[in-house]
Amino acid sequence: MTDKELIPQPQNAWLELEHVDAGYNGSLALEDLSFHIPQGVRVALVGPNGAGKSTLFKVLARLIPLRKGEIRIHGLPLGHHCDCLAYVPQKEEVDWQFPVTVKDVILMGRYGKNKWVGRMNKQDNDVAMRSMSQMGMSELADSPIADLSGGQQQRVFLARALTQEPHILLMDEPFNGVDMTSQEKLFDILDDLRNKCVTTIVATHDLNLAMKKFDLVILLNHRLIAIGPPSEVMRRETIRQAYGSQALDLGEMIVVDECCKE
Amino acid sequence: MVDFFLSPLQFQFMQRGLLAVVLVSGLCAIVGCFVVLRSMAFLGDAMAHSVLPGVAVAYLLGANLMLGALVAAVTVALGISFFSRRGSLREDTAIGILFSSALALGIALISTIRSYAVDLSHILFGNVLGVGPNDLIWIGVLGISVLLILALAYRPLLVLAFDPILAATLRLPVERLRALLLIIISITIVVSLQVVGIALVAAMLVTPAAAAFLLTRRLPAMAAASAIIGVLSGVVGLYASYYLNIASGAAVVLSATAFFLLAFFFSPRRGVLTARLRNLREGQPPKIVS
Repeated sequence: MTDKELIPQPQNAWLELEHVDAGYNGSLALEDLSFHIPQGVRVALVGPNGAGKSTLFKVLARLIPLRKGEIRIHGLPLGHHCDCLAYVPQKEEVDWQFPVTVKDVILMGRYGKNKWVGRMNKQDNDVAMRSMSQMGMSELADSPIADLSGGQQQRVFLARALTQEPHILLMDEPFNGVDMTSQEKLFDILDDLRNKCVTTIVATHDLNLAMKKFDLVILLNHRLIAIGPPSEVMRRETIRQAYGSQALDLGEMIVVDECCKE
Repeated sequence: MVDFFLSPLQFQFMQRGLLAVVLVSGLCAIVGCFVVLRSMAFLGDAMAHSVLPGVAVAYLLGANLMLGALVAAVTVALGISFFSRRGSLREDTAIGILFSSALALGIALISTIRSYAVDLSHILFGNVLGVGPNDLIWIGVLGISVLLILALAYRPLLVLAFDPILAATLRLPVERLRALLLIIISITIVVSLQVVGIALVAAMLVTPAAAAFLLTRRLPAMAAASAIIGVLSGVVGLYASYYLNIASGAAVVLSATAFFLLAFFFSPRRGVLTARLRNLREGQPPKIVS
């Protein structure tokens, strides 16, 4: 029960965005984005394709510079101290033919912190081994990553992120092309992270999951459409506002058509 | 049999040539692993060709040729990242422009030198039998420094090669590491100039590493296999050039190509023919490898 006591009150905002503008050359992918996320909650980030979900992650991970506004973690501006932030990109972002083993990849999570030369110390190894077994990857430690299935690749990425011991974990579409076992494993880990007071932000297309499994939902389409508990955000009007004509009203439920873009 | 190997070595220029070939091809093969894994083959080739104006200027000024080459290679590498980082040009376009311009500039400069035909062919195709004792020392010192730097920066370079996004979130000095890798490749190219020449050095960077990639599962093993393949190609090539009387640089590169083809078809894990054989033995229809 001690784990529970660690969870701060919801009014303690630990990730704060104020009037954030961001984008690639020329065009703005995100405009005037402001919201607060308390520590230790599980957030679903939803919105249509091209809404700026990945851009938001890349700005938070400092892969794209901020155009305007301010981002604060633990009350300090982004980049001001150790950001304690891990980012699990879509698994298509790396070359899975690369000659490294599962264990090599997971240990990369410890390469920051000035560990350039010499052996990894015992703590580094312990953390890596623990996250590996948490993700059920221990038997595959010495397999080349080229031999992994899609779900296993996702698990390696998550294990590596856990090895970074983040305070904030960003995941881009972790449920895409993943089998049920991997998905359940993922939610076990997310439960565990919530107990450890780690904030997780998960970009997903799956509105059903966002509705059922998350504490907070951010609905995004270039601008912030809504943020709040799923029951408040996942309402007909707000979904229609974000998805436009992609949202189909079926009377009792609303369905978002992701494959036919106008 | 022993005579076959020893008789060329009675000449001092052959001894020096063999030593130079072994050092250079080993070095190229190890550095080449990063070139292959970061898909920099085209960039490596461009940097090698862009060395020419540097050599020409150094020659005209009477300065050290290696130094001129090094300055030119680093300048062009930085120029490529300057033009492509602005976002308006794709990297391969920037490489294509700078590489041919530098080559043209080099040829223009060299054509002003009276006896340019001979010099040009030595720079383009290498002249391993002309390696002097001083050259050997340079090759040794620069080669060992490059390997030391690689060993020290192994982990951050590995992350950068595998997952640049992680490298950035781990707050590794990504831009400086990129520049470091470019400088390492430049030095390697310059060191190899005399042995294989600028036209063929890209092959020594890419071919043994590509063969090793097909044979191994981890980067340290890949680097070791690549070094072995590189050195073997060097030795085989030099003997072939002695006995068959063909240009030494070309012979070395062709030997490396032969090793690569063997690995491509017969690698136990990724070989094209081994996969077919395995399928046949297991009674499955052959799968077409795309």
